[in-house]
Amino acid sequence: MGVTLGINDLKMVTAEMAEYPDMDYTGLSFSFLKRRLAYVFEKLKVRKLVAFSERLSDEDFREEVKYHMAVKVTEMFRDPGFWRSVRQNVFPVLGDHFTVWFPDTPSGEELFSFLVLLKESNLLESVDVVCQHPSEQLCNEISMGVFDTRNSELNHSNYKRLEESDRFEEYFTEESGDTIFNKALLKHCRFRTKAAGVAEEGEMFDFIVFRNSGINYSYSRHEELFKEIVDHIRPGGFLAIGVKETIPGNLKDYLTVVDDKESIFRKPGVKNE
Amino acid sequence: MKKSDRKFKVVVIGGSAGSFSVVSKILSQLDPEFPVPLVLCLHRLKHVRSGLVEGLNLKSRIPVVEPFDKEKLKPGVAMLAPSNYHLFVEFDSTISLSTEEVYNHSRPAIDFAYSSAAYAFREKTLGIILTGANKDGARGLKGIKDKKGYTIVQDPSTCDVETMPQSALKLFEPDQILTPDEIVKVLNSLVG
Repeated sequence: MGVTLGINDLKMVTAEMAEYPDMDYTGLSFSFLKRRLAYVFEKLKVRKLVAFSERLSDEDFREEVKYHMAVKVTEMFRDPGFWRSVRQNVFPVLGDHFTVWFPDTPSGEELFSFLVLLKESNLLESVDVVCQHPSEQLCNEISMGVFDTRNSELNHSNYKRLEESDRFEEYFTEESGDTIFNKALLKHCRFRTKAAGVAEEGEMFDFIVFRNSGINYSYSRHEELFKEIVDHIRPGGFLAIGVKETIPGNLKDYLTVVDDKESIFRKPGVKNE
Repeated sequence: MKKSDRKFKVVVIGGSAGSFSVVSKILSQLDPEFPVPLVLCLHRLKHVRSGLVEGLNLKSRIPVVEPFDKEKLKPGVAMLAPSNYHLFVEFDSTISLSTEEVYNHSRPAIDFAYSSAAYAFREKTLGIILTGANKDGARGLKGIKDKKGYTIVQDPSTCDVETMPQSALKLFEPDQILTPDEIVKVLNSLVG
Protein backbone atom coordinates (compact mmCIF):
# COMPACT_ATOMS: atom_id res chain seq x y z
CA MET A 1 0.00 0.00 0.00
CA GLY A 2 1.55 3.30 -1.09
CA VAL A 3 1.64 6.58 0.77
CA THR A 4 -1.46 8.71 0.18
CA LEU A 5 -0.67 12.42 0.20
CA GLY A 6 -3.24 15.08 0.96
CA ILE A 7 -2.95 18.75 0.12
CA ASN A 8 -1.44 19.63 3.49
CA ASP A 9 1.12 16.82 3.14
CA LEU A 10 2.08 18.12 -0.27
CA LYS A 11 2.48 21.67 1.00
CA MET A 12 4.63 20.49 3.87
CA VAL A 13 6.86 18.17 1.91
CA THR A 14 7.44 20.59 -0.97
CA ALA A 15 8.31 23.31 1.54
CA GLU A 16 10.91 20.96 3.04
CA MET A 17 12.26 20.04 -0.37
CA ALA A 18 12.48 23.69 -1.41
CA GLU A 19 15.09 24.30 1.29
CA TYR A 20 17.57 22.34 -0.81
CA PRO A 21 19.22 23.53 -4.05
CA ASP A 22 17.22 22.95 -7.25
CA MET A 23 14.42 21.25 -5.36
CA ASP A 24 11.77 23.93 -5.41
CA TYR A 25 8.75 22.00 -6.61
CA THR A 26 6.24 24.33 -4.95
CA GLY A 27 5.12 25.65 -8.34
CA LEU A 28 3.98 22.26 -9.61
CA SER A 29 0.24 21.62 -9.68
CA PHE A 30 -1.11 19.67 -6.73
CA SER A 31 -2.47 16.87 -8.83
CA PHE A 32 0.83 16.43 -10.65
CA LEU A 33 2.77 16.56 -7.38
CA LYS A 34 0.46 14.00 -5.83
CA ARG A 35 1.03 11.58 -8.68
CA ARG A 36 4.71 12.27 -9.07
CA LEU A 37 5.61 11.99 -5.43
CA ALA A 38 3.61 8.75 -5.23
CA TYR A 39 5.73 7.53 -8.16
CA VAL A 40 8.95 8.68 -6.47
CA PHE A 41 7.95 7.05 -3.17
CA GLU A 42 7.30 3.80 -4.98
CA LYS A 43 10.60 3.94 -6.86
CA LEU A 44 12.56 4.73 -3.70
CA LYS A 45 10.53 2.34 -1.55
CA VAL A 46 9.41 5.09 0.80
CA ARG A 47 6.60 3.85 3.04
CA LYS A 48 6.05 6.88 5.27
CA LEU A 49 6.10 10.60 4.66
CA VAL A 50 8.14 11.20 7.78
CA ALA A 51 10.82 8.82 6.48
CA PHE A 52 10.96 10.76 3.23
CA SER A 53 11.41 14.02 5.14
CA GLU A 54 14.20 12.57 7.24
CA ARG A 55 16.06 11.18 4.25
CA LEU A 56 16.04 14.54 2.47
CA SER A 57 19.13 15.54 4.43
CA ASP A 58 21.03 12.86 2.49
CA GLU A 59 22.49 14.36 -0.70
CA ASP A 60 22.42 11.03 -2.56
CA PHE A 61 18.77 10.55 -1.68
CA ARG A 62 17.95 14.05 -2.93
CA GLU A 63 19.66 13.25 -6.21
CA GLU A 64 17.51 10.14 -6.56
CA VAL A 65 14.39 12.17 -5.86
CA LYS A 66 15.33 14.72 -8.54
CA TYR A 67 16.06 11.89 -10.95
CA HIS A 68 12.67 10.24 -10.50
CA MET A 69 10.69 13.48 -10.42
CA ALA A 70 11.59 13.87 -14.09
CA VAL A 71 8.83 12.95 -16.53
CA LYS A 72 10.84 11.36 -19.29
CA VAL A 73 9.88 11.98 -22.88
CA THR A 74 9.21 8.44 -23.96
CA GLU A 75 9.80 8.69 -27.67
CA MET A 76 12.01 10.41 -30.21
CA PHE A 77 10.31 12.67 -32.77
CA ARG A 78 7.14 12.87 -30.71
CA ASP A 79 4.75 14.78 -33.00
CA PRO A 80 6.63 14.38 -36.31
CA GLY A 81 4.72 17.37 -37.70
CA PHE A 82 6.37 19.58 -35.09
CA TRP A 83 9.85 18.57 -36.19
CA ARG A 84 8.92 19.07 -39.82
CA SER A 85 7.77 22.57 -38.98
CA VAL A 86 11.01 23.32 -37.13
CA ARG A 87 12.95 22.31 -40.21
CA GLN A 88 10.75 24.36 -42.54
CA ASN A 89 9.97 27.43 -40.46
CA VAL A 90 12.70 27.83 -37.87
CA PHE A 91 16.00 26.54 -39.25
CA PRO A 92 16.02 28.69 -42.43
CA VAL A 93 15.97 31.93 -40.44
CA LEU A 94 18.30 31.12 -37.54
CA GLY A 95 21.42 32.38 -39.28
CA ASP A 96 25.00 31.10 -39.44
CA HIS A 97 25.33 30.56 -35.73
CA PHE A 98 22.60 30.20 -33.15
CA THR A 99 22.01 29.21 -29.57
CA VAL A 100 19.35 26.81 -28.36
CA TRP A 101 18.05 26.22 -24.85
CA PHE A 102 16.24 23.20 -23.49
CA PRO A 103 15.08 24.66 -20.14
CA ASP A 104 14.00 21.23 -18.89
CA THR A 105 15.68 18.12 -20.25
CA PRO A 106 14.16 15.17 -18.40
CA SER A 107 15.43 12.61 -20.94
CA GLY A 108 17.42 12.46 -24.14
CA GLU A 109 14.69 11.82 -26.68
CA GLU A 110 13.74 15.42 -27.39
CA LEU A 111 17.34 16.62 -27.56
CA PHE A 112 18.49 13.69 -29.69
CA SER A 113 15.63 14.30 -32.13
CA PHE A 114 16.70 17.90 -32.42
CA LEU A 115 20.33 16.95 -33.04
CA VAL A 116 19.37 14.47 -35.76
CA LEU A 117 17.34 17.20 -37.41
CA LEU A 118 20.29 19.59 -37.22
CA LYS A 119 22.64 16.98 -38.64
CA GLU A 120 20.35 16.29 -41.60
CA SER A 121 20.02 20.02 -42.22
CA ASN A 122 23.82 20.46 -42.12
CA LEU A 123 23.51 22.78 -39.14
CA LEU A 124 25.25 20.77 -36.47
CA GLU A 125 28.35 22.98 -36.58
CA SER A 126 26.27 26.15 -36.35
CA VAL A 127 24.79 25.58 -32.95
CA ASP A 128 25.44 25.80 -29.24
CA VAL A 129 22.88 23.93 -27.17
CA VAL A 130 22.30 24.39 -23.45
CA CYS A 131 20.43 21.61 -21.67
CA GLN A 132 19.51 21.52 -18.04
CA HIS A 133 17.86 19.49 -15.37
CA PRO A 134 18.13 19.47 -11.58
CA SER A 135 19.35 15.85 -11.58
CA GLU A 136 23.08 15.49 -12.14
CA GLN A 137 22.69 11.79 -12.89
CA LEU A 138 20.13 12.53 -15.58
CA CYS A 139 22.32 15.17 -17.18
CA ASN A 140 25.24 12.72 -17.16
CA GLU A 141 23.17 9.97 -18.76
CA ILE A 142 21.90 12.21 -21.53
CA SER A 143 25.36 13.63 -22.20
CA MET A 144 26.57 10.02 -22.58
CA GLY A 145 23.86 9.31 -25.16
CA VAL A 146 21.87 7.00 -22.89
CA PHE A 147 18.21 6.59 -23.75
CA ASP A 148 15.40 4.10 -23.29
CA THR A 149 15.99 1.49 -25.97
CA ARG A 150 12.61 -0.15 -25.27
CA ASN A 151 11.09 2.45 -27.55
CA SER A 152 13.50 1.98 -30.46
CA GLU A 153 10.80 0.72 -32.78
CA LEU A 154 8.52 3.66 -32.00
CA ASN A 155 11.43 6.10 -32.37
CA HIS A 156 12.21 4.66 -35.76
CA SER A 157 8.61 4.77 -36.97
CA ASN A 158 8.28 8.40 -35.83
CA TYR A 159 11.46 9.22 -37.71
CA LYS A 160 10.15 7.54 -40.84
CA ARG A 161 7.01 9.67 -40.63
CA LEU A 162 9.28 12.69 -40.76
CA GLU A 163 11.92 11.63 -43.24
CA GLU A 164 11.86 10.41 -46.78
CA SER A 165 15.28 8.84 -46.45
CA ASP A 166 16.10 6.40 -43.69
CA ARG A 167 19.42 7.03 -42.01
CA PHE A 168 18.13 6.42 -38.52
CA GLU A 169 20.56 3.62 -37.67
CA GLU A 170 23.49 5.97 -38.33
CA TYR A 171 22.69 7.93 -35.19
CA PHE A 172 23.27 5.11 -32.77
CA THR A 173 26.29 3.11 -31.70
CA GLU A 174 26.97 0.09 -29.54
CA GLU A 175 28.93 0.61 -26.35
CA SER A 176 29.52 -2.23 -23.89
CA GLY A 177 26.58 -4.08 -25.36
CA ASP A 178 24.19 -1.13 -25.02
CA THR A 179 22.77 0.97 -27.82
CA ILE A 180 23.49 4.65 -27.23
CA PHE A 181 22.99 7.83 -29.18
CA ASN A 182 26.00 8.81 -31.27
CA LYS A 183 27.99 11.11 -28.99
CA ALA A 184 29.55 12.90 -31.95
CA LEU A 185 26.25 14.68 -32.39
CA LEU A 186 26.38 15.92 -28.80
CA LYS A 187 29.64 17.82 -29.17
CA HIS A 188 28.06 21.28 -29.12
CA CYS A 189 25.79 20.53 -26.18
CA ARG A 190 26.46 21.82 -22.70
CA PHE A 191 24.69 20.29 -19.70
CA ARG A 192 24.09 21.97 -16.39
CA THR A 193 22.27 20.99 -13.23
CA LYS A 194 19.69 23.65 -12.66
CA ALA A 195 15.99 23.91 -11.92
CA ALA A 196 13.66 23.90 -14.92
CA GLY A 197 13.32 27.22 -16.68
CA VAL A 198 16.01 29.04 -14.71
CA ALA A 199 18.57 30.69 -16.99
CA GLU A 200 21.70 32.69 -16.17
CA GLU A 201 21.15 36.40 -15.96
CA GLY A 202 21.38 38.02 -19.37
CA GLU A 203 21.47 34.74 -21.28
CA MET A 204 19.67 35.00 -24.61
CA PHE A 205 18.75 32.23 -27.00
CA ASP A 206 17.65 32.02 -30.61
CA PHE A 207 15.45 28.99 -30.05
CA ILE A 208 13.94 27.67 -26.84
CA VAL A 209 12.39 24.20 -26.81
CA PHE A 210 10.14 23.79 -23.79
CA ARG A 211 7.60 21.17 -24.79
CA ASN A 212 5.21 19.51 -22.35
CA SER A 213 6.97 20.66 -19.19
CA GLY A 214 4.81 23.70 -18.50
CA ILE A 215 1.75 21.47 -18.19
CA ASN A 216 3.03 20.16 -14.88
CA TYR A 217 2.87 23.57 -13.20
CA SER A 218 0.11 25.35 -11.36
CA TYR A 219 -1.73 28.08 -13.19
CA SER A 220 0.09 30.91 -11.42
CA ARG A 221 3.59 29.41 -11.63
CA HIS A 222 2.98 28.49 -15.26
CA GLU A 223 2.54 32.14 -16.13
CA GLU A 224 5.62 33.24 -14.14
CA LEU A 225 7.73 30.51 -15.68
CA PHE A 226 6.75 31.43 -19.20
CA LYS A 227 7.47 35.08 -18.54
CA GLU A 228 10.99 34.15 -17.42
CA ILE A 229 11.49 31.95 -20.46
CA VAL A 230 10.16 34.50 -22.94
CA ASP A 231 12.56 37.07 -21.45
CA HIS A 232 15.44 34.87 -22.59
CA ILE A 233 14.37 34.67 -26.24
CA ARG A 234 16.53 36.89 -28.42
CA PRO A 235 14.60 39.29 -30.68
CA GLY A 236 13.65 37.31 -33.78
CA GLY A 237 14.08 34.07 -31.84
CA PHE A 238 11.64 31.20 -31.47
CA LEU A 239 9.81 29.33 -28.71
CA ALA A 240 8.36 25.83 -29.05
CA ILE A 241 5.89 24.44 -26.53
CA GLY A 242 3.79 21.27 -26.47
CA VAL A 243 1.07 20.95 -29.07
CA LYS A 244 -1.60 20.96 -26.36
CA GLU A 245 -0.15 23.83 -24.35
CA THR A 246 -1.02 27.49 -24.61
CA ILE A 247 1.00 30.61 -24.00
CA PRO A 248 -0.39 31.97 -20.74
CA GLY A 249 -1.97 35.34 -20.09
CA ASN A 250 -0.83 38.46 -21.85
CA LEU A 251 2.48 36.90 -22.96
CA LYS A 252 0.72 36.18 -26.23
CA ASP A 253 1.09 39.88 -26.97
CA TYR A 254 4.88 39.51 -26.97
CA LEU A 255 5.00 36.68 -29.48
CA THR A 256 3.76 36.02 -32.98
CA VAL A 257 2.44 32.66 -34.12
CA VAL A 258 4.70 30.78 -36.53
CA ASP A 259 2.81 27.50 -36.55
CA ASP A 260 -0.40 27.37 -34.54
CA LYS A 261 -0.91 23.63 -34.90
CA GLU A 262 2.62 22.76 -33.79
CA SER A 263 2.81 25.52 -31.14
CA ILE A 264 5.82 27.43 -32.46
CA PHE A 265 6.06 31.14 -31.69
CA ARG A 266 8.47 33.94 -32.48
CA LYS A 267 9.57 37.05 -30.67
CA PRO A 268 9.32 40.06 -32.93
CA GLY A 269 12.51 41.88 -33.83
CA VAL A 270 15.76 41.18 -35.55
CA LYS A 271 18.73 39.23 -34.22
CA ASN A 272 21.59 41.40 -32.86
CA GLU A 273 19.12 44.23 -32.50
CA MET B 1 -28.92 8.48 -3.58
CA LYS B 2 -30.72 8.39 -6.90
CA LYS B 3 -28.92 9.77 -9.90
CA SER B 4 -31.77 12.18 -10.53
CA ASP B 5 -31.32 13.76 -7.10
CA ARG B 6 -27.91 15.19 -7.68
CA LYS B 7 -26.40 17.71 -10.03
CA PHE B 8 -23.45 16.05 -11.68
CA LYS B 9 -20.41 18.22 -12.26
CA VAL B 10 -18.89 15.93 -14.86
CA VAL B 11 -19.68 12.86 -16.93
CA VAL B 12 -16.68 10.77 -17.94
CA ILE B 13 -17.01 8.18 -20.68
CA GLY B 14 -14.19 5.72 -21.29
CA GLY B 15 -13.83 3.23 -24.07
CA SER B 16 -11.44 1.38 -26.32
CA ALA B 17 -11.91 -1.11 -29.14
CA GLY B 18 -15.33 -0.66 -30.71
CA SER B 19 -16.17 2.43 -28.70
CA PHE B 20 -16.09 4.98 -31.51
CA SER B 21 -19.43 3.87 -32.90
CA VAL B 22 -20.98 3.73 -29.42
CA VAL B 23 -19.74 7.20 -28.48
CA SER B 24 -20.82 8.51 -31.86
CA LYS B 25 -24.29 7.07 -31.30
CA ILE B 26 -24.52 8.58 -27.82
CA LEU B 27 -23.39 12.01 -29.04
CA SER B 28 -25.78 11.90 -32.01
CA GLN B 29 -28.75 11.32 -29.70
CA LEU B 30 -27.76 13.59 -26.86
CA ASP B 31 -30.04 16.52 -26.09
CA PRO B 32 -28.36 19.69 -27.44
CA GLU B 33 -29.16 21.29 -24.06
CA PHE B 34 -27.11 18.69 -22.21
CA PRO B 35 -26.15 20.59 -19.06
CA VAL B 36 -23.04 18.81 -17.78
CA PRO B 37 -19.41 18.86 -18.97
CA LEU B 38 -18.63 15.61 -20.76
CA VAL B 39 -15.17 14.07 -20.84
CA LEU B 40 -14.36 11.38 -23.39
CA CYS B 41 -11.31 9.25 -22.76
CA LEU B 42 -10.90 6.81 -25.62
CA HIS B 43 -7.89 4.72 -26.48
CA ARG B 44 -6.52 5.96 -29.76
CA LEU B 45 -3.49 5.77 -31.99
CA LYS B 46 -0.81 7.90 -30.38
CA HIS B 47 0.70 9.19 -33.60
CA VAL B 48 -2.61 10.21 -35.18
CA ARG B 49 -3.55 13.60 -33.81
CA SER B 50 -6.43 14.48 -36.07
CA GLY B 51 -9.50 12.67 -37.38
CA LEU B 52 -11.18 11.37 -34.25
CA VAL B 53 -12.57 14.67 -32.99
CA GLU B 54 -13.67 15.58 -36.51
CA GLY B 55 -15.32 12.18 -36.90
CA LEU B 56 -17.24 12.52 -33.64
CA ASN B 57 -18.33 16.05 -34.52
CA LEU B 58 -19.95 14.86 -37.74
CA LYS B 59 -22.97 13.48 -35.90
CA SER B 60 -22.69 14.96 -32.44
CA ARG B 61 -25.44 17.28 -31.21
CA ILE B 62 -23.03 18.96 -28.78
CA PRO B 63 -19.59 20.36 -29.64
CA VAL B 64 -16.66 17.95 -29.31
CA VAL B 65 -13.25 19.51 -28.75
CA GLU B 66 -9.77 18.38 -27.81
CA PRO B 67 -8.90 20.55 -24.82
CA PHE B 68 -5.66 22.35 -24.25
CA ASP B 69 -3.93 22.00 -20.91
CA LYS B 70 -5.60 24.09 -18.17
CA GLU B 71 -8.76 24.59 -20.21
CA LYS B 72 -12.01 24.91 -18.25
CA LEU B 73 -14.69 22.23 -18.43
CA LYS B 74 -17.80 23.60 -20.08
CA PRO B 75 -21.41 22.42 -19.67
CA GLY B 76 -22.69 20.83 -22.83
CA VAL B 77 -19.26 20.46 -24.39
CA ALA B 78 -17.56 17.10 -24.87
CA MET B 79 -13.83 17.18 -24.30
CA LEU B 80 -11.91 14.37 -25.94
CA ALA B 81 -8.57 13.33 -24.41
CA PRO B 82 -5.86 14.22 -26.96
CA SER B 83 -3.71 11.46 -28.37
CA ASN B 84 -0.53 10.68 -26.45
CA TYR B 85 -1.55 12.73 -23.40
CA HIS B 86 -3.11 11.61 -20.14
CA LEU B 87 -6.11 13.69 -19.16
CA PHE B 88 -6.97 14.66 -15.59
CA VAL B 89 -9.97 16.50 -14.17
CA GLU B 90 -8.96 19.06 -11.56
CA PHE B 91 -10.69 20.58 -8.50
CA ASP B 92 -11.04 23.94 -10.22
CA SER B 93 -13.00 22.37 -13.09
CA THR B 94 -10.08 22.55 -15.45
CA ILE B 95 -8.46 19.84 -17.52
CA SER B 96 -4.81 19.07 -17.06
CA LEU B 97 -2.79 17.06 -19.51
CA SER B 98 0.33 15.06 -18.90
CA THR B 99 2.97 13.11 -20.77
CA GLU B 100 3.71 10.89 -17.79
CA GLU B 101 4.44 7.22 -18.32
CA VAL B 102 1.91 5.08 -20.17
CA TYR B 103 -0.47 3.27 -17.85
CA ASN B 104 -2.24 0.04 -18.73
CA HIS B 105 -0.29 0.34 -22.00
CA SER B 106 -2.31 3.47 -22.67
CA ARG B 107 -1.90 7.22 -22.94
CA PRO B 108 -4.53 8.52 -22.41
CA ALA B 109 -5.28 6.08 -19.61
CA ILE B 110 -8.98 5.86 -18.77
CA ASP B 111 -8.20 5.00 -15.15
CA PHE B 112 -6.56 8.42 -14.73
CA ALA B 113 -9.51 10.32 -16.17
CA TYR B 114 -11.98 8.47 -13.92
CA SER B 115 -9.95 8.61 -10.73
CA SER B 116 -9.09 12.31 -11.10
CA ALA B 117 -12.76 13.15 -11.67
CA ALA B 118 -13.74 11.09 -8.65
CA TYR B 119 -11.11 12.84 -6.54
CA ALA B 120 -12.24 16.28 -7.71
CA PHE B 121 -16.02 15.90 -7.72
CA ARG B 122 -16.70 12.78 -5.64
CA GLU B 123 -20.42 11.88 -5.68
CA LYS B 124 -21.06 14.43 -8.40
CA THR B 125 -19.19 12.31 -10.93
CA LEU B 126 -20.93 10.05 -13.41
CA GLY B 127 -18.65 7.45 -14.98
CA ILE B 128 -19.55 5.25 -17.95
CA ILE B 129 -17.36 2.46 -19.27
CA LEU B 130 -17.90 1.14 -22.78
CA THR B 131 -16.62 -1.64 -24.96
CA GLY B 132 -12.87 -2.24 -24.99
CA ALA B 133 -10.13 -4.81 -25.24
CA ASN B 134 -8.16 -4.28 -22.05
CA LYS B 135 -8.80 -3.65 -18.38
CA ASP B 136 -7.97 0.07 -18.36
CA GLY B 137 -10.77 2.02 -16.71
CA ALA B 138 -12.03 -0.70 -14.40
CA ARG B 139 -10.13 0.48 -11.31
CA GLY B 140 -10.84 4.12 -12.04
CA LEU B 141 -14.55 3.48 -12.40
CA LYS B 142 -14.48 1.64 -9.09
CA GLY B 143 -12.81 4.77 -7.70
CA ILE B 144 -15.88 6.76 -8.76
CA LYS B 145 -18.12 4.21 -7.05
CA ASP B 146 -15.97 4.34 -3.90
CA LYS B 147 -16.42 8.13 -3.78
CA LYS B 148 -20.20 7.64 -4.04
CA GLY B 149 -20.32 8.71 -7.66
CA TYR B 150 -22.65 7.06 -10.16
CA THR B 151 -21.36 4.27 -12.39
CA ILE B 152 -22.68 2.71 -15.57
CA VAL B 153 -21.19 -0.24 -17.43
CA GLN B 154 -22.15 -0.99 -21.00
CA ASP B 155 -23.98 -4.29 -21.19
CA PRO B 156 -21.23 -6.72 -22.28
CA SER B 157 -23.65 -8.48 -24.61
CA THR B 158 -23.81 -5.26 -26.67
CA CYS B 159 -20.03 -4.75 -26.79
CA ASP B 160 -17.74 -5.40 -29.74
CA VAL B 161 -15.12 -6.42 -27.17
CA GLU B 162 -16.33 -7.11 -23.65
CA THR B 163 -13.00 -7.23 -21.78
CA MET B 164 -13.22 -3.69 -20.46
CA PRO B 165 -16.76 -3.82 -19.05
CA GLN B 166 -16.20 -7.33 -17.75
CA SER B 167 -13.05 -6.14 -15.92
CA ALA B 168 -15.15 -3.49 -14.21
CA LEU B 169 -17.86 -5.99 -13.33
CA LYS B 170 -15.28 -8.29 -11.76
CA LEU B 171 -14.16 -5.47 -9.46
CA PHE B 172 -17.46 -4.03 -8.23
CA GLU B 173 -21.19 -3.79 -8.77
CA PRO B 174 -22.03 -0.69 -10.81
CA ASP B 175 -25.21 1.30 -10.38
CA GLN B 176 -26.44 0.21 -13.79
CA ILE B 177 -25.53 -2.11 -16.67
CA LEU B 178 -27.06 -0.62 -19.80
CA THR B 179 -27.25 -0.86 -23.57
CA PRO B 180 -26.06 2.18 -25.56
CA ASP B 181 -29.68 3.30 -26.11
CA GLU B 182 -30.34 3.11 -22.38
CA ILE B 183 -27.16 5.09 -21.67
CA VAL B 184 -28.47 7.84 -23.94
CA LYS B 185 -31.76 7.90 -22.02
CA VAL B 186 -29.94 8.24 -18.70
CA LEU B 187 -27.82 11.10 -20.00
CA ASN B 188 -30.78 12.92 -21.50
CA SER B 189 -32.62 12.55 -18.19
CA LEU B 190 -30.05 14.98 -16.77
CA VAL B 191 -31.52 17.77 -18.91
CA GLY B 192 -33.98 20.06 -17.16
